[in-house]
Amino acid sequence: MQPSLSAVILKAQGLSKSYNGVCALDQVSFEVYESEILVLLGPSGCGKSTTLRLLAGLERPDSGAVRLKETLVVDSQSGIFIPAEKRNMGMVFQAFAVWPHLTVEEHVAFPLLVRRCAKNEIAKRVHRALEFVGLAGLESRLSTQLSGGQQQRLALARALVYEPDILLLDEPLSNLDAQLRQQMRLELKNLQRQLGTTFIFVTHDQDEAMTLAHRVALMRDGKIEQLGTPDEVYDNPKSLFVHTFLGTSIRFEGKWREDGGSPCLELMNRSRLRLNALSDGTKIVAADGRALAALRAEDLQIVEERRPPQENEIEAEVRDVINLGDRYELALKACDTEFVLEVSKRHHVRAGELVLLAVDPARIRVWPM
Amino acid sequence: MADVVIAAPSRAVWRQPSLIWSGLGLCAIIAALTLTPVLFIIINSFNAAPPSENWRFGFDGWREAFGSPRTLAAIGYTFILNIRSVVAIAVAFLFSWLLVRVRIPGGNFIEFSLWIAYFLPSLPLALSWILLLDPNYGLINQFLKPLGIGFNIYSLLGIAWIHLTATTIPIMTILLAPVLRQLDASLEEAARMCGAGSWQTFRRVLIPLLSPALFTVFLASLIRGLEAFQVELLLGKPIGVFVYATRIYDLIQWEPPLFPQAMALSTLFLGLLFVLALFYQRFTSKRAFATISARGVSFRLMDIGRVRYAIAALLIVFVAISVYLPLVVLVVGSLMKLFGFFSIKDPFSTRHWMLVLSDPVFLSAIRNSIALGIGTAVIGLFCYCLIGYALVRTEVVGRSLVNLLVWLPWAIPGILLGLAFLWLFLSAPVFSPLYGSYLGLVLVLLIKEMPIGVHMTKTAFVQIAEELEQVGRVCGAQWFYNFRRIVVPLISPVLVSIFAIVFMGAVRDIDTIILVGTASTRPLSILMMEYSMAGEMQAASILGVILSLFAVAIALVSRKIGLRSAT
Repeated sequence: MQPSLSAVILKAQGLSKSYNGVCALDQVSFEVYESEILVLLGPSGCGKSTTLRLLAGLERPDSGAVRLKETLVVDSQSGIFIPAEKRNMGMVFQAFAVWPHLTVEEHVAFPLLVRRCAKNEIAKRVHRALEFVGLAGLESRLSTQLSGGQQQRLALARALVYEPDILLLDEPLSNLDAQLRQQMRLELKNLQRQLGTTFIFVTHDQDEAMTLAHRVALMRDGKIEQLGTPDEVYDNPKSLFVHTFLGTSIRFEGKWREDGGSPCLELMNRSRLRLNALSDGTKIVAADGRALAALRAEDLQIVEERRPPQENEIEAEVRDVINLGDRYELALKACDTEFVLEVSKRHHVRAGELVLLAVDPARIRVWPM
Repeated sequence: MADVVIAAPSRAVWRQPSLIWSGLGLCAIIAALTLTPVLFIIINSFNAAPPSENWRFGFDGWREAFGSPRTLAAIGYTFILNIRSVVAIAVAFLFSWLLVRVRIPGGNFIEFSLWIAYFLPSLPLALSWILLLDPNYGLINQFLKPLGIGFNIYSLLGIAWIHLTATTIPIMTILLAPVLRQLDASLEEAARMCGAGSWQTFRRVLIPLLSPALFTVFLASLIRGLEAFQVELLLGKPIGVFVYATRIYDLIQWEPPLFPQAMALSTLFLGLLFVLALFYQRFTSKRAFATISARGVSFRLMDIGRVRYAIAALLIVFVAISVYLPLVVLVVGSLMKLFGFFSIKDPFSTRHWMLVLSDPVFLSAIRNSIALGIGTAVIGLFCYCLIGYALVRTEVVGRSLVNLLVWLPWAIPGILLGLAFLWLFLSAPVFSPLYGSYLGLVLVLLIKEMPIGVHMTKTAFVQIAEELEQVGRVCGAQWFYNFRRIVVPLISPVLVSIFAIVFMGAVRDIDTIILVGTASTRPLSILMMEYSMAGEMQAASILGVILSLFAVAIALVSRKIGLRSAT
């Protein structure tokens, strides 16, 4: 099911929270649409888990409000606070939080039990949920006898069996090994597509965010830095931080040159980068005319010819060539910037040589220093 | 990443041929220390010979002991008094949960007060409750008299009240709080997210998860309760109420002592505890319980709004009544001309303090107390650490046997432990130099404190990740160097706690050493007991104040050092 960008299921307004005087979350507002996966992405300590816990009702915000569907679940002004257990949300915890004293079946039955469902109804839904996450046949196992991946499926089944309005996932994949993580990522995506449940997913892993998200909220220091689709935030980062956090960021220092034409940045080694036009995200304000150009590795192409650099070309020194089997990894240096580029094996380069890199001018992002 | 089950710690593979010999040696030593008193008790319960004659098999002791209506009454009273454990575990669980999980103002102060209560000897508290609730001159009773209400501390309820406030609830809370701290908060939060309210979470998740810990604490308190003795003697004897432990003591006090009867009662006691221990093992081995996440638990305080002030007030009132009120009253009482007589003109005087403090008997007693406390704590720390380490981290043979034997002293009432060693010291010439010596007293106290000491070191060793220790070894450190530089610093907060507990256990002990000691090694606690049984309440309360000061000082020091090394 595709998210409907018109139906808002959750609305957070001005959420703030501090612990012992340290501000963890600062006036955060956002909306979540029905049936979408919203990923809260950011480095540790950026406030993403705090946001999730405030939405869940596991903690009270110092100020701000959250509206779930038609209900105000928390509002610091009117003092409304609906506790976690009455919000009909599901949550998957980082360490899964499976109870060591219960079996798989008892786990999944738990939320239905506390909702006083009928016995045969419970049995039916538990069976369906376990089948759904692929744990059928393990009903009578103790949760501690399961592997990490199975525990995670169990946590998922427990959180989904009562069909919550929203599923909150707090770094659910970080406790799994790399291979399993990749697999679970895809499974989660498929699961969400089939169920149409709204997911709010917290992670510090940008790959995870890119794979899963319909929209990404990149957080930093208790604030949302940018919110948009994965492509939007990747291609049009609003700040250098966003650019750096998502993918590789190769930066060159330079100075503005006014030569009548479109804006042009001269790097330290005299290479000139001519921008087509200033896109929205670029702000060129520094008084001394100095600026920082940020590029992605995939926007650099090796030029086969050996000739002096032209406009939108950068000359770089090859420091090392690493054979990755199907391709080379080049350790390069240009204008004091060291970076890494993966190239196809048809390029024959040796350490110590100079190579010419062509830059796609449309992809250059510029920030003041 | 993976959860570690406490019950089944992974062990370092550290095999050497010498492990067999060291294991056998360890088994032999622990068995000698713990089984001797047990065998002594069982064998002598079947002694039918008069005291001066040689041992002769017979059931006379058993028959007389259980034929006596006083014994049956004592069993009845013991049962009634120990119902308090049921009340206490509920209260203590609530207290520890509030202290650990909820952000309440003054939480540190409340917990610290409970630690003071834990270290306080119970006899002086009983003295001060006599001051407050004596049916004739008790302070509170005098206030209540116009209202027509009156309490009598010389009653079953009085005894239970003192135990609940001064020992049972504080100890249980202190034991449960760390267990709750180790429980990952997300286990509770997961239940709340599933739609379970506070009560459902409590009943279906928290209680089952903690049931082994709750059961252990309950059992520990029950055993302490069964052998509790000082308060029962002081308050029960005047009204003819004997409990199991005071009945045993009473039998020994006869002239000549009725040892076979006392031993028969004790054998039954041991049997009962054995059954409880078996039951406990079956209960815990069925399912894997409390787990500690090796990654560090998510630990968050719950925000409960304004209710927290009410809760804090309630808890502070509790510690004020159970800890500080009796302490203050004790100090006041010690400054009176005549203990408890507030009505006489000009009732206060420092004369008794002067008399006691200048008494050479007192001076030697305080020296003895400090020597005993430090001696027991230092030697104990060393021995318990070695035993704990051998049990958790090595592959020495006979570990499971040692694990079991270490717990035996719990089951032996102090008075009988002392008696067994008195008999050993007097009957075997090899050991006779130990009689009445510091070393003899320290030995008995070491055995008495062994269960808690070894248990605490074991827990500490289990909790430090094995890799932390192995990495030191891989770096090339010799075993002992590694132990000293890596392992000991890592568990130093626990070591401080063990030192404090063992020191205070030795300083306030009465029942274990009352028979083994002589006048030359008599510590403060015994002197206080002698004063209070002789009716010299004034001197007894002064010693009580001094012992309480010890307790407060120890609580302060252990908190300060424990906290510093924890951060």
